[in-house]
Amino acid sequence: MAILNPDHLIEQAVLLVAPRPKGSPRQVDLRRAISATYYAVFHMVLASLADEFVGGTLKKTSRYALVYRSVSHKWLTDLCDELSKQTPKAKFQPYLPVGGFERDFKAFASSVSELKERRHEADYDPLKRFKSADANLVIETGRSAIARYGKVSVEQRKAFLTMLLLMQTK
Amino acid sequence: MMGIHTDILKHARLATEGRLAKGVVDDIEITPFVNSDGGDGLRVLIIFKDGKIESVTGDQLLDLLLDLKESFAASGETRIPILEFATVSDMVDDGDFES
Repeated sequence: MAILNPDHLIEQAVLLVAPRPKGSPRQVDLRRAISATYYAVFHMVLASLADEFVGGTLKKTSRYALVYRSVSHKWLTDLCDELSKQTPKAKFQPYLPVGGFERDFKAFASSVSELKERRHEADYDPLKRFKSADANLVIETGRSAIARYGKVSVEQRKAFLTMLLLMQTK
Repeated sequence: MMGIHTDILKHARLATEGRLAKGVVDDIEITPFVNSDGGDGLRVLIIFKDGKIESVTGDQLLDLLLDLKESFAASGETRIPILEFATVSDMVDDGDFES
C-alpha cells in the first residue's frame, strides 16, 4: 500500500464533494477533490513500482523510498500516453507484452494524462470554475482507473513498471 | 494553436454514442488547449442532460477516453484529448467565484 493510501485519497475526494447543508459546494473543496483523485492514481503507481522492485515488506527502507520517489509526473504521463497508443514508438517495442497491452491497461494509462491535466487546472488555474458534476465524474474516472490497473495481468504490469523505472529520460 | 477539424467532432459524437446510454448527452464541445507541459491538447466537454449524470460510470468514461484517443489518432489527430464534464444547468454561469 502506498504511503498515501489511494483508497483514502479517493474517500477524501468523495467527502469533499458531498453536498453541503447550504449553498453550492466550495470551489476549494471541488479543486482539492480533483487534485486528491489524481494523487490517488499517482501514488498507486509509485507504490506498485516500489513493491515490484524493492518489495512490499521493505517499505520502511531508504531503497523503497528511493524507487518510490524516482518517477516524475511528466515521465509517468508521457509513458502512459505512449503505451495507450495502438503502436507505441519503436524504442518501446522490445519491451511490450506479447500481443501488446490489454484494454484494462490502456484504459488506466489513458486516465493518467486526463487526471494530471485536471489536477493542474484545479491547483493552478484561477479562471476555471469547477462544478460538482465535473468533480464527481473526475473522481469516478480515478476510482475506475485504480480498479482497471488492479485487473491488469502480472506480466503486463511488470512490463509497464520496468519501462517506468528504467526508461525515464531526464 | 491548431483549430478543430470538423471530422473530430463527428468522431467524438460517434465514440460518445458508443459508450454512453442514449439520451444522456445533450452536447459535446471541443476546444484546443495547451497542456501543463506546453503541448497541444484537445478539451472535450461533454454536457449531460440534467439528472442524467448519476447513471454514468467511471468505466464508461475511461473506455470513452480510450475510444476517443484511438479514433482521433486513426484520423490523423495527434493532440491528446482530455474529458471535462458539465450538465446543461452548469452551462449557465452564476458568476460565483467564492472559494
